[in-house]
Amino acid sequence: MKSNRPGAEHVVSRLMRESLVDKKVIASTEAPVHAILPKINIIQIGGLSIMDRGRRAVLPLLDEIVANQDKYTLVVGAGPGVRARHIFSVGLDLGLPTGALATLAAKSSAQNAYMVACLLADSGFVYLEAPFIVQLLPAMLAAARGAVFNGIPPYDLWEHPPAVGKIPPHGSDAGSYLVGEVFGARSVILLKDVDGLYTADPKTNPHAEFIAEIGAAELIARQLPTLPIEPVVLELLVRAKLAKSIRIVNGLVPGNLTRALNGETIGTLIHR
Amino acid sequence: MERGAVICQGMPPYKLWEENPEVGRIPPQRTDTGCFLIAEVFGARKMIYVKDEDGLYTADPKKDPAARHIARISVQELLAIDQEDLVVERAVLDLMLTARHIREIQFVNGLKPGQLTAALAGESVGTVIFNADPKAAFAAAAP
Repeated sequence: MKSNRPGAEHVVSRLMRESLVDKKVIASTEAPVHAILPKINIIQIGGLSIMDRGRRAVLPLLDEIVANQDKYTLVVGAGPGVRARHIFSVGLDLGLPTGALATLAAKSSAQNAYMVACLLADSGFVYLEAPFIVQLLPAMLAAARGAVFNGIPPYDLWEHPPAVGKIPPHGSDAGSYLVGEVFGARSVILLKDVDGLYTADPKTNPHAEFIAEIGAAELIARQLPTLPIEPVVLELLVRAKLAKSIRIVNGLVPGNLTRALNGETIGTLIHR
Repeated sequence: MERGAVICQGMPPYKLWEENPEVGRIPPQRTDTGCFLIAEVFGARKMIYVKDEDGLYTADPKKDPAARHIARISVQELLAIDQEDLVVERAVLDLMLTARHIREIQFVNGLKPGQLTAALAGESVGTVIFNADPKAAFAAAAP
């Protein structure tokens, strides 16, 4: 490998002989991050909250997505909904590990994403499965008029065993957020069936108070009994470099998505 | 497969979905983490890391002549010491706390013939990092 030939090009690489576990080496890599696709907006359609309600909930929302297509670049993720709950319950009963449950959840989520893609196809949206959204999103957005992806991240058998229970911690909220973070998206909007974040579940507790805006670290510290999003998203937000906030809005209310895309105060903003 | 062995990719498939590290920009979950999670999800008999050192030291033995070898240590103690450098990715230590199957991991020097065989035979070569409180993960595991 070594060449003493005069004029030979020797590659000097600053990490070549370093331990990548060394704290000083790690700290030396801290610097501003380039946004790969800063114009895209990530829209996550909730599985249980939107998709499972069928045409009554889904079709008006897709119409609103298409209505915003000319103004904004939209990349749409979908969650798995009730089918993932069912496959979890069967998988848990059979003693399957978290990694197997994560693999199953991604297959359920792919079904919802595919249905969304079919309905948006005529408006120029393309469906990109996990490896292709990584490789082809820039090219596809140059050629197509939007993209749809599977909200569940491709952690599969490598999903982390959670601290409590066996349910995979990285669901479609985390997957959609991470797509926004890595591409440096303009916004990450999570569409649910509640108006945003409350101090308790508004469906069961009439005293639940609405929270319009809150920091992720503060929200973690408050240890609320229920959240409308996966808790891991809060940890990801604390370490955000580009996508420094998410907005949770009620996707069942017409106009909410448009207002969120326009940057108006709607729903709940959780920021870094 | 007919030799009873397969080779797999060490890196986990997180790709663009890799979580940010707390500090810096180096992906925190690399081949140590990927292999640990394969061992965990399949409930493997052993998780052995083959490196170019005899295992864990108090500092990087390649740079610090005063570095002392650590033959056996609990993951809880190792996290509490919070060393500047380690033989393994920190993500593996965090995952050990919640792992249901893998209760210890072993590090051997692949440049020394016989060490891997000794580790497979259950001998205490290199370094063993063990979970001193595996019940914590199991107690929490009940769905």
